[in-house]
Amino acid sequence: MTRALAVAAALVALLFGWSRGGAVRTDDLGPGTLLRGAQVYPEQRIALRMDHAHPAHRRLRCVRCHRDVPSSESARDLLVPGEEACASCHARDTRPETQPRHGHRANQRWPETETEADQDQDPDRDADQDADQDPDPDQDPDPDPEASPDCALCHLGTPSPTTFAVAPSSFPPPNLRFSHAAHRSTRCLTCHEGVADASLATRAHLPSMRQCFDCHGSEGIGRWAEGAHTECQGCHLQRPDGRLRFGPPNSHAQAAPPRWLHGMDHDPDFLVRHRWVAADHGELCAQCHEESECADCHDGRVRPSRVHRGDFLTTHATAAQRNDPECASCHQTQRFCGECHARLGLAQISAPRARTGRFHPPSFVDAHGEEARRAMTQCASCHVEQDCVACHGALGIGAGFSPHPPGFASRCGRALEQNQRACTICHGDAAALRARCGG
Amino acid sequence: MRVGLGLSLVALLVGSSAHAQYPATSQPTRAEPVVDQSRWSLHADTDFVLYELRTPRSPVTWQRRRLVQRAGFREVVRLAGEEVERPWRLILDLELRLDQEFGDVCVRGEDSCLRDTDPDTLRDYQPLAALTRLDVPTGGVELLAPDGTRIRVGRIVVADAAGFVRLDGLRVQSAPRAWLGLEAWLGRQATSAVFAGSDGFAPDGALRLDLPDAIARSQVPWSRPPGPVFASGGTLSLGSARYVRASLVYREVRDGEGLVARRAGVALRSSQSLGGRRLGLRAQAIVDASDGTVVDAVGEATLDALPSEGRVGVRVTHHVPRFDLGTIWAWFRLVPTQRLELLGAARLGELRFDAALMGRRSVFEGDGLVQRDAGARMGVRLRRAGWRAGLRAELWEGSLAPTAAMLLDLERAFARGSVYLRGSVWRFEHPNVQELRATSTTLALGARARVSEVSAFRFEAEWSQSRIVGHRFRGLASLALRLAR
Repeated sequence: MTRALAVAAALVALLFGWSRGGAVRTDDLGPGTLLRGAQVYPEQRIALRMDHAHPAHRRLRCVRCHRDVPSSESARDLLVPGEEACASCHARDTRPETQPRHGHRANQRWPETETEADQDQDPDRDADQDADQDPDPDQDPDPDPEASPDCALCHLGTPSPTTFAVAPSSFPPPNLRFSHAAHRSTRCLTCHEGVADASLATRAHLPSMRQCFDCHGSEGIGRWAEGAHTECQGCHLQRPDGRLRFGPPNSHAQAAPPRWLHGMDHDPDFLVRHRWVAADHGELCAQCHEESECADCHDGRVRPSRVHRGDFLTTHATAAQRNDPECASCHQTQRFCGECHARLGLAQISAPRARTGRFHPPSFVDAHGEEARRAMTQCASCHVEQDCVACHGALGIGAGFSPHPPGFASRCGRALEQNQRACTICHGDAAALRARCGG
Repeated sequence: MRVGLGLSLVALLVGSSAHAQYPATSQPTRAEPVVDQSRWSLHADTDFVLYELRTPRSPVTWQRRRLVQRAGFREVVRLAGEEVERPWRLILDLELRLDQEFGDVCVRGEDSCLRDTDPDTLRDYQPLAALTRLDVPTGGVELLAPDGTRIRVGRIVVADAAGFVRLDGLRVQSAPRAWLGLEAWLGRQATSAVFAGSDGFAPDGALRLDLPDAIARSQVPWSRPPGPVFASGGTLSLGSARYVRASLVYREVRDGEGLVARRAGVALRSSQSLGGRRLGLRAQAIVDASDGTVVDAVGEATLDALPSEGRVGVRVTHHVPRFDLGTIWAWFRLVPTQRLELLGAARLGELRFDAALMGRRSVFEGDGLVQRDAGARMGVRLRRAGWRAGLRAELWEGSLAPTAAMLLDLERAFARGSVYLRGSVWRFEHPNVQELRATSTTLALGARARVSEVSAFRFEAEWSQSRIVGHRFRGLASLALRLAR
């Protein structure tokens, strides 16, 4: 008992107490972050204090600190400003005796006013952008008089009387292709929505795919700006065979598409919907999936427990009666259903010794026609053609009862012409039947 | 012997892991090539399942152990220099699957368990079983043109508005213009009759069995000898979904005895951007061209609210359970079933809700009989800081089997794997089978772990209980290897 409790406690501790450092994990920051998949924007570890919403920071142009942005052509470029960007205003706040352990340079200053080079880096900047973000770009903001006069002003970490152990930050590159240089005419806040009001910029302020579709839209989704590419591989990385890649080259990470993208969200209803999505947008499915994956599921040998739970074996009869989900979409009824039912003695074709007693209640004789007409697939999971022929065939005891729809006699010649096998099973000689049908 | 073969495949792939390193030079920049330097990949999966089947009436207890192994190879050959961003490419892929079943068909209460494929024990012999199957789930050569045209020879999966079919043959897909798409295919349908083939997609309606030499066809008169089934078809897509995109579909299936199926159809879709919303419209009708019966039809309208990820929609379907024309069941008087669904989904913070109200009816013309059912389905999902949780409920009531269910999913992800729990409770009452009225409970506990860069392991133990079959257990162990270079 004690051991069981200890194991249970360890399990709970493992699940709930998974150790996390003092830095902020961006998944913890709130609902907005969930819109950015970790496959595209890997989780960050931010051990920094940088309040974009601080009045002094709001007055700055973005490129004042993010200097490399206008020339960046790679999504792998780390565009988080270095210390020198902060030091232009905060140099006086760092004391030499509290230098961090790892090469933290102090006393560097940005120029008091913007250089010509700064201005040249953003030639396409429009007036609105300046008005929104830089009400006074040429004036160096006053440093915050309340700022802490040490490394802790910007960094999280562990202070001591002589040193400051800076907590590490991690900004993994996004698994995307993106050129800031190619988007210089776009306002920063168009894609980095909300960052001006953020106390800490996180993954939540990186552009979501929906925002990209404001210019790169296609097929009635979003908008399309002249010259904007609409191919998936324009933004996403690619494997050699053309499929998209959501991680390093050796990664098999996959990302689920959003709901608004042709209903491709892989939610529970997708189990029903995916046949139409595949029919309409097969080329989009192929951006992530190999063709063999269709067969993995539709012709799999191991029951996918996400599709059929463990008790589906017990409940499947009711699902089959409703044909929900559609059995024949994955199973050839006779081979799959019939095989199991026959082995278990439930079918007419079962071995005599294994065969069970009457499966249906006696009253089912009257109702079986309705069931057969509505859900013939269900019947075929246990019965073979001969079971029907025994009663309904013209040569059997049920002769005279026609299972055919009204008016069938007038077109039976065509049926005979298309495939006479079905006709001869019940009606015998094809030549005689042809004469009867007027063929 | 068989296990040894499987393990040797695994060992072969594990031994190749030294080649699983990539050059770290691919930089996803605008100026650099999109395609990294990878050329080939290998994958292997081994699944071992242990379970038992019982029914309340039959004396048979079916204890099964199943080992399924897959080994696949895929190679992409660039037919141009590295400097070409969109070269001609050749893709070769092949996958082999070994499916081995162990176990016995036992007669409950007796000492002996009779091997189900032993022809000397015809008393309980079931010719449907095969102990070992080697098949080819996929295999072929595909040529990719710079403009996206694809030409594939080999095993092909076709998924169009008329449904799903798998064949061995040729397919050509091309979209020369944004408003024009073409697809044409033909080949021999992949059924049990195909060499090393799979039997998942044989035409429905009759059992087509390959019998062992020891079994005469007269012993299993209800079966048909298998034969080749040929299928051909194509899709022509016109227009833009910004307005209307129309796809015209046609397919024909034939075997040695004549026409098996002939389907024609049209699918229309439209997608409209309405500010922060997207309106999606879709309609399709598939006709049995042999007699003009509409066998499948779908109409769907959905409205997505882009920022909130909310959705409302309505869907109507029409289905006729039509079999292939080579069977007597193709010519029976059938009753179509119509279904109406009102769909909704919303996101509230970290919670994602979805719900559906469903109605189903079947009208028996001439008999004055109408079957009606109503159902509801709702669910909520949560994903936060490594946790994934989902709770779903479903309810059906009406002419068919009343059913109620509650399903739970819980998963905790770690750096190198996850632990998950799945549970469900079902209450169901089958109107035509007295025994199938019970409450069934299932609990499954599983774990996934990434053992190394190229290998992953999965384990799952499942327990279910119901009055019908008592306690039942199922165990699954799975090892997957994926290498690439």
